[in-house]
Amino acid sequence: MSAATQYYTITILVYICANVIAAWGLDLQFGVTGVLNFAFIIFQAVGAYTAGVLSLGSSSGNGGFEQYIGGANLPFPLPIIGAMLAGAALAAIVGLIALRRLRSDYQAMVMLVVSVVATTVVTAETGLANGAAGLSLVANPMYGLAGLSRQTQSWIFVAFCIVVMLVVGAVMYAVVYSPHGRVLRAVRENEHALEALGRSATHSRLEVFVIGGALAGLSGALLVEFIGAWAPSGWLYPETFVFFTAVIVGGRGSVAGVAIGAALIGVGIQQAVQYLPIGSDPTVLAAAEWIITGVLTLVFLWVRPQGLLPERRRRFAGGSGVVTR
Amino acid sequence: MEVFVSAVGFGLVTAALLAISAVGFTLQFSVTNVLNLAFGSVMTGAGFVAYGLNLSGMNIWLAMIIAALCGGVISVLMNTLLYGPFIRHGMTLFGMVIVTISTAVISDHVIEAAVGPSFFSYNAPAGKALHFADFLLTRQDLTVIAIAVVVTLVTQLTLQRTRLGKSMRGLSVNPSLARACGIPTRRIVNFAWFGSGVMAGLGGVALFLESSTFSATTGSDFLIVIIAAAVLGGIGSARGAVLGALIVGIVTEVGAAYWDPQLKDVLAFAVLILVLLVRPQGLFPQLATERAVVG
Amino acid sequence: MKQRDRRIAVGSLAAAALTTAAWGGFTQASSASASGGTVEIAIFHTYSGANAAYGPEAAAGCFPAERLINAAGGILGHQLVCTPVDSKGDPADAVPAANRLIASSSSLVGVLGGGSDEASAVVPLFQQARIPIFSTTGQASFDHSTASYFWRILSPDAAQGNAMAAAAKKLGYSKVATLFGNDAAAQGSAPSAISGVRRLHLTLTASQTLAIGQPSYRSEAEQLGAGNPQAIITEADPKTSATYFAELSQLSHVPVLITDPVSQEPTWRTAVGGAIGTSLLNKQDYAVVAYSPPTSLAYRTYTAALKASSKQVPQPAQWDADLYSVADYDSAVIMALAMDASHSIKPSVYNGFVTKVTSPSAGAVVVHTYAAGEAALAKGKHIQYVGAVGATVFNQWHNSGQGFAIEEYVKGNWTVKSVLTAAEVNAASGA
Repeated sequence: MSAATQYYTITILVYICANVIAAWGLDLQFGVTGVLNFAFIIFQAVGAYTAGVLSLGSSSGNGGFEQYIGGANLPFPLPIIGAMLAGAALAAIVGLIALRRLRSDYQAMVMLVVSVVATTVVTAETGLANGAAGLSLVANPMYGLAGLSRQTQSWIFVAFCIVVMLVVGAVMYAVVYSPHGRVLRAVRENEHALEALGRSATHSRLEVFVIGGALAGLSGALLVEFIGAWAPSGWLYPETFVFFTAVIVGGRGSVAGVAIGAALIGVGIQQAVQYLPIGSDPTVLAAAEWIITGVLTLVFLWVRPQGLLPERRRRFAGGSGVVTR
Repeated sequence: MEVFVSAVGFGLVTAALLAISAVGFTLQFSVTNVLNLAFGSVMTGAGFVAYGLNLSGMNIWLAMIIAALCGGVISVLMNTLLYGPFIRHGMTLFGMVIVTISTAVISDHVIEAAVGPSFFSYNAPAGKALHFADFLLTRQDLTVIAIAVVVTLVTQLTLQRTRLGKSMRGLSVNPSLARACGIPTRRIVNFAWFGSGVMAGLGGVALFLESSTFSATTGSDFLIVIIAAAVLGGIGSARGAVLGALIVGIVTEVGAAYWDPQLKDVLAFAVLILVLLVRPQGLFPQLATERAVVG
Repeated sequence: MKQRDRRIAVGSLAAAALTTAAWGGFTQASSASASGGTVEIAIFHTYSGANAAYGPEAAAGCFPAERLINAAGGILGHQLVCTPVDSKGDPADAVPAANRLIASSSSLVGVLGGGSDEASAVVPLFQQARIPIFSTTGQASFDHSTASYFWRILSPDAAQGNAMAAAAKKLGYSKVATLFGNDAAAQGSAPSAISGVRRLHLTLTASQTLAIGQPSYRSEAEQLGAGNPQAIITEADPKTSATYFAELSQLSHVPVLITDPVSQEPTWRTAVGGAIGTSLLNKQDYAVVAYSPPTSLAYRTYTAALKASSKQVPQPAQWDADLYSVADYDSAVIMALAMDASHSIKPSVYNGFVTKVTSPSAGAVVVHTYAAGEAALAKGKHIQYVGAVGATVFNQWHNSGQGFAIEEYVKGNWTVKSVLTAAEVNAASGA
């Protein structure tokens, strides 16, 4: 493969890993437990900003043209861990406010509002994360490995991302298909029965909210270390919708399905639409991407609402034969 | 004091814009339980219909009326061709939200591809603002406020005094019981969509008019604030939508006058969240015993 | 079909679709290189979203250059092709787009790109790929750029802000207000404009930053109007500016506006003109822009080629005063001349010749068009290309800059009202 093709492949692979991890986070929240988290993208953003700030060092360095709070020069993988903690912490705060007593459709609308508030505040308060210009010059941790070509370093980063994705996947399998996973699904299917059994639905929702937030933060960290920059224009509120489409197309609640959905929707459409015979006017192409995403969602919701790889429905021997829908 | 009064005046203008749309949004939701996030697209579409008419020489207020009727028709079609089938197919409340978002995404980008990335203005100069009692409002502002008042009154009267209104309220409280009583559900639902579409059209043209310039994304950008106003007031209550619109509008402008104008929306949203913490159903909660989507 | 088989089938189908899409990118060569003997300059700008006008703006610079260069015989026998590519206006989407461009085009020799929204993410990519990128971002982060393949021919935002303050003083205004949008592009010149106003001891009646795209700025406009500024130093995107000034006009009046090249962009003029009336706008607006003698041969050559490019550039005349289009035109010509001078179309080779064709030196022939430059180089001479933007002299950080002039829109044309001297701009910057 030529160098250019390699870099393109590397880009696609990193984006797939990050998107899959994020989609799993949303799958835990929405697919399995039924929380309509329309602010999902801000958790990815907080992870990206945290990882960036923790690897950039103090803001007076770098020529002083970017302002941001905090700033440390932590070695790999601390910025990534910091990003996960930030995602979890933000999720805890938002969850404690929004998840408690609101009815589900209000919850959804409040989340949407929170997403808009986040971009507005970050853009207006330039001291937080350099406003609309965003962070830049975030270094890829693998570029510090001595004696290797830039290409090899990049491939090592890809390998790292894939390993992380597989680890998260294993954790997802363990959670989703465990007894605990059944509790979560019960929140989605029949909240009252769950409460009657003495478990708190709100407790479970908050729990997946926080875990999902951590996963979103992790995905943001991987992205920012690869892209090197992060700005509000990249995490406006409609971006959450792309992840929802991935979860729906892939199969709510299904770990493998959501992974395929995330790869197809997040990355596949964007790249594939360049080769459609609709001419090369970039304005039309950009609109086409969104239109295809929307149409795909509708088609899947109509034809195959359970998604490409539906979640496995367990049947239990000795049961009374009652099967959930 | 002057600054405060004029800020309240500006807030009334924003509130009027919000009220026209929020009442339509919330009315349709109360009858059908569908959270129609494609509402902003209907506003934009109607706004551009009015633009086309205005460009060919029609007076903007007349164009507004025609555009509003188009908005109504588009909304009914949207429900008949898209939402209704999905609901009958078994889509739940959550699923319908995703359906409406997808519809919004598709229609917004179709409009964008059609009109391009440019900016447009109506041929309707607003003139100078009139000074009275520390208020600074143009004739156009006052007309928009008047439209909001009329829309609100007509909606309230329809809901309280007419049989159609009573049927709508019955349907929103308990759909199955309403059906059992012989209320023609399909027809009422269509009326609700038509009414909400008309208000979306009026709201869209008013928004474009008051912004002085508009593009393909203006309607959807404003939708978040409309939803905030509707939720604040208690989704499903027309009175609530108006009160929510007033609060959001005035908080926004007074906040811009006394605090950081970049964060004026944030202030309004913070008020929304605070109110919901204390009163999770909004200001005028709707008593519904069932929450099934009605198509 | 058994459950397991169906899942395998669906999964394989999905995987196959994804693989095909991805590989389509690697194996499909761009149409330009398919015909062997063409070189490609990519127009890598935003064609979608809020700043969707940036792409067509850059195209309005590239296509006239393409026309003139090919008419003069091309570059070392190769025909030039301008290829539009959407950068999508944010770093996260621009990176895959840039990598895809680099991977899929084997005849790519240069890039016109790097707008403020995505420059910091994509410049390192083109640097790594060793492809020269001529960027129109004014951000301060590039004022001391160490990227050898990065070139910036327009003055940075910091200088632009100072020039606007200097212009206010030169025009005789002592009470001014500043008004900037909070997006990345406008925020570049805000700090130096404000500090310039203070350093020149003008009275700053108000300094406002606007959240962009709001439907109402009435409170902000009233506050600004209450301070009664004689002039407003301003940069904001078309929609924000139009809404704001319309409301300002309703509540009080629109004073003199001191703007920058953004106000000469056709979308800005249409939006604001439509909102407050074109005659009022033209009467009140002074644009402080890079100074280049408007009747220069280079500029006239550009505008003629622009008018002739209506097939690739819809309504070409709207761009002829747009500084960014003009800068992109010069950038393309400079790239072409550098290739001629280095006798190579390899980007890593000709990149070192960019300064050689633009720096003044004794014995260098000053040329204003590609044709003249190519001819002089063929005779073995050294050249200095002085283009439509003026002389482009790069410093050690590959930054160039121009002087500034105050222009006004008179009878359908931008004309220079007065030129700002370096001393006047330095007084504002404190240099």
